[in-house]
Amino acid sequence: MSTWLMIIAAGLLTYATRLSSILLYGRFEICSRGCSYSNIFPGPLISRGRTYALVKQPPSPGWSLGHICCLANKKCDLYHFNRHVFPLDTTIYFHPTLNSYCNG
Amino acid sequence: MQLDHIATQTNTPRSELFSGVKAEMPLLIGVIPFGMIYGILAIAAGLPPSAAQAMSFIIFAGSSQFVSAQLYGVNVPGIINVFTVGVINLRHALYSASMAPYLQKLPTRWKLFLAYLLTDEAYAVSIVHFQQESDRRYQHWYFFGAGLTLWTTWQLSTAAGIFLGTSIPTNWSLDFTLALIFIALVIPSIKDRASLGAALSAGIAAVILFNFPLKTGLLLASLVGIITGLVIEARS
Repeated sequence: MSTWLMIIAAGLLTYATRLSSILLYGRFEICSRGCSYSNIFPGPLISRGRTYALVKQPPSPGWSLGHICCLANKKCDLYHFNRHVFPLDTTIYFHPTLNSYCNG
Repeated sequence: MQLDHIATQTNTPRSELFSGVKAEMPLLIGVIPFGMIYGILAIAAGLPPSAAQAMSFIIFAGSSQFVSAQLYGVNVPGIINVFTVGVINLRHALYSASMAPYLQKLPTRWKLFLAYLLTDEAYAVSIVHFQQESDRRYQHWYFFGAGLTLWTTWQLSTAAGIFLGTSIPTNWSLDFTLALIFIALVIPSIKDRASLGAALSAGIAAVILFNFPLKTGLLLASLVGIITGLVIEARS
């Protein structure tokens, strides 16, 4: 094996190790936890297939996007939002204008 | 309830970028001599200067570069060399898994780029920031700042080692800076019994397993530390 081929192969292997989880995370994820401090905007009830934004309650100047919670387009086994328990096959969608992040 | 509340953030990409650069700065004290020593060692092992520098650019992982250069110097087959580098850098998979939730929402091009910058030092400062900062909109800029600072320093110090550092007397024993770097990374993160137990058990295991082939002792020691930390955390 030439020196350059060795360096390139080692570099690719290292890069693949670094990239693996970063690239794949969330793509095959089944959320197993609810979002304990979230509320549902605009209403307290969830309907299948509708779009919601989940925000910290109550909103204040201090709250941030980091508090917008749970997974977009992911099925969860159980939801506990606003003291409502939702069945196993409930799917929640985020408001499309929000660049939401999972905290679940 | 107004969505306008979202606009109350003070963080910007620029502020995050420079925060990352600033956080990385103290670690560079150890990285610079480390990079220079690598450059000297690579040349001494017989690597052409262009290949020695390319290793820093392509692999960009100091400890594995040291081992790879040494193996090259004693004519170990290339495939074994590549495999050894892979084993040493397996810890990056743990870093990747740890960082992944914070980078999940980024476009793929950002993920592809930031993964290249994922090193011990960039991870150490970024993960602490990620865990402490609730505003995640521009956190990747912090990581980018830290990673780019380290990358630039590593490339320059390697180049300095290759072309200028050969005049440094070998009896200075600057290779000890590697251990100092890792100590500086670990100490600030020990904040509870679980992290203390993880650090101690991993350290002890690393010494005991030091002679394992292909540096697998390092990986096993990492696993011992992880398991110990998890057990202590679960019990407390």
